[in-house]
Amino acid sequence: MKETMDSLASRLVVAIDGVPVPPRPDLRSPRRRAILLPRLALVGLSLTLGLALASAVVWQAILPLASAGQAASRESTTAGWSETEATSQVIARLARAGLSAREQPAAPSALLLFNAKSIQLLAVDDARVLGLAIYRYGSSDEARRGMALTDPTKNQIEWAAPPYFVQVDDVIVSFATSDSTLAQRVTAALSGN
Amino acid sequence: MQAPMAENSNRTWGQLHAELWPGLVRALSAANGGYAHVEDAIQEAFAQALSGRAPAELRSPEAWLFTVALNELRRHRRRSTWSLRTAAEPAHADGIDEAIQRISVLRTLARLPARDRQLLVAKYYVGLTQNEIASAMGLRQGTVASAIARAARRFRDFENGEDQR
Repeated sequence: MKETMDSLASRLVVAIDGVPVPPRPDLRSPRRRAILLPRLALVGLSLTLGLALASAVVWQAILPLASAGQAASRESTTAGWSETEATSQVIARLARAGLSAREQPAAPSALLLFNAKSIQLLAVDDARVLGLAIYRYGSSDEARRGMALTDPTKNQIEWAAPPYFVQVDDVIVSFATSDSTLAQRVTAALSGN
Repeated sequence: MQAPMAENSNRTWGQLHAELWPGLVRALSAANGGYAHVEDAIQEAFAQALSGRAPAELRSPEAWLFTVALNELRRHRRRSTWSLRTAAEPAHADGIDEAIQRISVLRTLARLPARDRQLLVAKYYVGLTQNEIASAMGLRQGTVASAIARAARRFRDFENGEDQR
């Protein structure tokens, strides 16, 4: 039995050692992760609180809460998006609202809010739209539960502009803008209206 | 300046990042059944280390990093299109028989239930102790040995099943 185990062990080692390894990225320090926060236009978040409470709903802001309180669209218009589909669908829907957008590099897990499983940031080529993010969930139900946590009046997040949240099946798209007309257009396009 | 990893070591976490990266990627890809989120999990483990969350005295920094990253992966478990079958392509030119052997082992490993896979990799590739495995995988210490034996048996069963086809 011992010989068999040893043989299994050595075969595993040889096999796993043969797995190719992608190029090593730079060591990501906790400080560098914090520097990424402004990309989402969430200003005034302290590093400590941002990291400690990232997976929770409440982020403690240094500055007072922005005057937000935008009504969130809770429409569900599609029948399930895969992880890769979600990003391209959102980009396509933004295009319908006259906005071009592209994927941003991987977001740090510290940006995860509303119990989302992963996040994709999009850069929108319109300075009025800030920090557009796609929060991904395992199912529509999970996204719906996440949506219930997005009320800007209950969350102490310092947004760069009034935030908007749109649930589309198993993702929540959030963005911030001071242009309410544009916000309506984007919300309608994301909802598929 | 980076903090040393342990009181009795001169190596910094930055040096360990360079040194241990390939082994951690391989071990975690094998344990995870794919490369998805492996890089992020390793980075998270190093970020925790840099934040001073690693114990001052470590038996093996690789074991600690593997455990932290594995837990991270289990929290964000996802399937990836880059499976071990793809990753198992020979990394370097060697005999065709050896390459086939390696791919066969990895394919069998990928077919195992996640826990069996993680147990075998943790035990035989990373070299975690039974205590470390118990703590990393939430098992009672007394059950680790039998769980590994069962995983090994299942591995061989799968392998034999494949051979018979």
